[in-house]
Amino acid sequence: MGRIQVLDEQTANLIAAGEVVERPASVVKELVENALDAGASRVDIEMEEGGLRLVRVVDDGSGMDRDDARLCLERHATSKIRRGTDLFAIHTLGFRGEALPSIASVSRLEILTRPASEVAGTRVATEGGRDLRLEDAGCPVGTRITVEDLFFNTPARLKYLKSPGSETGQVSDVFTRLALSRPDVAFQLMSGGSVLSSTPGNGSLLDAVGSLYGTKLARGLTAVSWENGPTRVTGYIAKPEFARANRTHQHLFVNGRYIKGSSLRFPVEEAYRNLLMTGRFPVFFLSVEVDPEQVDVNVHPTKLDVRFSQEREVKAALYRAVQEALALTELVPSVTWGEGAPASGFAPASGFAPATASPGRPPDDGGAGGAPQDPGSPWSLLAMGEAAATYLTGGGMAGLTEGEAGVGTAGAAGVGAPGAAPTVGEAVEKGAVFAPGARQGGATVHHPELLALRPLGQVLRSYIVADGPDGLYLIDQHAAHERVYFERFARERESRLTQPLLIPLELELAPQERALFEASREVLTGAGFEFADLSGGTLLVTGVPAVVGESAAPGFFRDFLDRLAGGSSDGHALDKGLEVKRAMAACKAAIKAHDPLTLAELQGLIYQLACAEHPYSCPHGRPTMISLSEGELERRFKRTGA
Amino acid sequence: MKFTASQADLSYGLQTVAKAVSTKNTLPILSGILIKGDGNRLNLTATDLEIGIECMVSAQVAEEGSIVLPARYLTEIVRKIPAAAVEVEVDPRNYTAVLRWDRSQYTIHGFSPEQFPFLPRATQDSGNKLPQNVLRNMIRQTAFAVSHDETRPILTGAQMTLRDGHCHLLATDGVRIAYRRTALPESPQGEQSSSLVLPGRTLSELSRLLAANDEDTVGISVTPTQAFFDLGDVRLVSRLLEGQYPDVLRLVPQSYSTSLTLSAQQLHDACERASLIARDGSGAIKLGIDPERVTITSSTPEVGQVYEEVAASVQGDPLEIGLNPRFLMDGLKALDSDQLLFEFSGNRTPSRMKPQDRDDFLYVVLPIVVW
Repeated sequence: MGRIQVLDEQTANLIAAGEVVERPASVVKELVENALDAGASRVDIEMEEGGLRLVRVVDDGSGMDRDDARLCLERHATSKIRRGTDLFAIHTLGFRGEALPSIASVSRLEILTRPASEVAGTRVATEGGRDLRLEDAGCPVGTRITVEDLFFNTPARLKYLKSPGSETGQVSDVFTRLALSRPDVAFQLMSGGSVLSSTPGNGSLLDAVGSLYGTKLARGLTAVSWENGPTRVTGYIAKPEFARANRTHQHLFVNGRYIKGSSLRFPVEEAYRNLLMTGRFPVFFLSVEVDPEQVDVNVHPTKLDVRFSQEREVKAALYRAVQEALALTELVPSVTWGEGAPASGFAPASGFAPATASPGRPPDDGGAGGAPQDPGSPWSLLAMGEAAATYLTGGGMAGLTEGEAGVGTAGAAGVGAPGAAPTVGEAVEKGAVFAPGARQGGATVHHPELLALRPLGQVLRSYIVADGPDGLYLIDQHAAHERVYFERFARERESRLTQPLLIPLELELAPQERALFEASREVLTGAGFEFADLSGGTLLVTGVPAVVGESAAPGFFRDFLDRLAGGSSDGHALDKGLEVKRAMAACKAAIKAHDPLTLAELQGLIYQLACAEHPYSCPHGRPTMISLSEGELERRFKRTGA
Repeated sequence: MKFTASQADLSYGLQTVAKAVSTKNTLPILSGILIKGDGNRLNLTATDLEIGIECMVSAQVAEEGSIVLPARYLTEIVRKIPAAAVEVEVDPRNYTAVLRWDRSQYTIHGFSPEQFPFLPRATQDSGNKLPQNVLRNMIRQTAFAVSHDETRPILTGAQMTLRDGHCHLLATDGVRIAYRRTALPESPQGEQSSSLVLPGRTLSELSRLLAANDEDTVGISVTPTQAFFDLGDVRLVSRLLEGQYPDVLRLVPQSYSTSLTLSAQQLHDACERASLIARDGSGAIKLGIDPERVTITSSTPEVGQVYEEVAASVQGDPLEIGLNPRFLMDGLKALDSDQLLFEFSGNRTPSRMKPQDRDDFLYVVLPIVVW
């Protein structure tokens, strides 16, 4: 009897603090979210010793009057929701009413606040949530919350914190996310008296990214703006060259809230497939807006995960939004790109010295692959914009014919009478080189800017050197040809052929896999698979798409189901399986490094590449070409002051 | 051991057995060839534990004995010896062999013959014999259809059945079946039927050893785990593939609603031409059959179209069926007869081809379903 007791409030707050206040970074997050909910237009964050000594968040938001200032330290006291049903349509970042009392219970806390309507401000101070002191104090409109000596009364928690340096890193992470979530608010993060980073708060996400990540990345971003009914996807995605080895630079916001859960990242990554090498992850800053009633954010105390009632639709929206933006990326003239030379200070010896730039490295891993990842490198993944367009419209076909005599003949002959030019030979035959319309079912030029490239020859019989509108271009002949074949196979082998099997393949599926399979059965049948059911969970595959082939089918299924289990949608999982086959075939069919090519063949390859939909990377995600801009060349030769 | 052998004989013997030498290098002894001198002949043996080949060559053996010498060096050196005869002397204490001819002397380090695995021998002669060229043809007509897919190991071999005085050989990769049957001329009394699965590699090595004439015979004996082929001077022993070989002939339709009689050569050549265009696309061709004409069509968007008419006599229902021309050509080449009977029972079920005048060869191929 009497063994169960209701905990006193102080203890309850300590328990809640365990969930909500893990480390200084979580204090920053909670306080800044409060500031944002209070309508602040400027938030300054100050910390000392990684926030263990001090965290101070100053905002110019609405502030609180005396009563509110006292109440805000009571558990489940919040201004953000009033009744249970509000939980299902949450517009604010905070709502649980747990944060402040929790923080107060494990620190020395001081609140200084004044709403615009009052002359005098209020100062509230507590130590470990006890001894609440309230007094008048002079202060500007808004709220300043100072948290000192975090965890001073919970030594166990204190012991498990990392060094101030690493806590500073965590705070910076949180800061980055919050700042990105609200480009309309000016953020500033200070540590030990010096400014670590800040954002202008002018409402431009691009400027916010620029000030947090540097202008180079900001210039490599492509805007995403996609809308379907109440679902909107906006933000920026980085060009494939900016991909990183982990996912820490993926920022996803749902209704303004940063989301850590990874399942929404898959559709974005899937949209990048074939543009990235395995193990590289795209960088993006995306915001999804959905009907608040469709989201359940009350899943986790720190609100890093959310649930959607229409998860598939949201994923599909993300996928389509990013895919469409990527398809446009290289076509849309990126105006900022051409402005000035890349702001890097490379010593001439380290950069474009012929001995170090590309020779000697195998084309499949070093060389071209390494360069774009180097943030300061003058070699940039090709992104030809306005310059190319003008060059082309100005020079037009003349730009092509003014090249070598042989090439000129090819151009003329191709337009006039395809196939009737014996001197041109192979090149014309290969792809109706210069006459897109000359063949029925012939390819259309998707990337006319590439036609402006005039090949000069081969380096190491592996790379095509070309003169282009913006300077010097190097094309990896194997990667380029691989891309050409990959897209061609994708077109040709879409034909609907099924190879029935004499001896059906038996697949034994676990109940979980079985459920996944049943959900996607239609998609598979649509791709040319045929099935028969046996009792006891065994599934017979009686026919496979001719492209997959019988021997690859069991592996194909395993991978397919694994991708489904990993959160891919069935269509993408299927495509991916088929693409692996295609990429392999393309690699085999393509010309290899060290294959000698004539000038006409080089021209032909460039033309074929221009007909590709994604000419800038091979199916494995490696770049097909890199460029050295005119500005860069001038700097290297000291023709301009660098 | 000490012997003298003709360069030609020794080289022939070494090259015959060298195909069985292991390339895996996990057991060093298996990279060698066992040489045993006995009376007036040498017995050469090599094995990788899957197949073993033994070859007898004549030689003057002065001192009997045995040694294992590394195949790689021995075969190459002997092949290049310019003299007519070579003398080999083995030091049994340190397992080295000295090769001498003219004024040359090569020393090769070998292994102890005791380490060499014992090559199993047929416990009794079953008496099943075939002319060598007949078995060679049987292999040529079927082995191409074995599967190369290691996920279903049993299909990487061909099924040989000895029954009712006949030898049956069948191979399938799950999409087509090649089957050949022949009568055993010397069928022993009171025979019992046996069925075994020979690895694809055994078939190709065996086919290489078999002579192209019908004077020499090959004897076939079987134990539950091995098959023995006795070619006279050469013997081959092979491990068998374990497992149940699927009864695929049962899956072949028994009645056919459409049948064609035509020239195998013409169909083969037409397929070959069509595949030039088809191979860059889906790889499939379409066979259109109606009483008026038989057509081959194919289309590859960026390459072009194929249309051919083939002379044939048609019986039964009109039909359009998708086929892989490569599979067709494989079967047509194996047919060994110009007049072909090609039968169909719909465009989703297996079709069957065989020589018009014989029943001993059968090729079954599944269509490609276009939808």
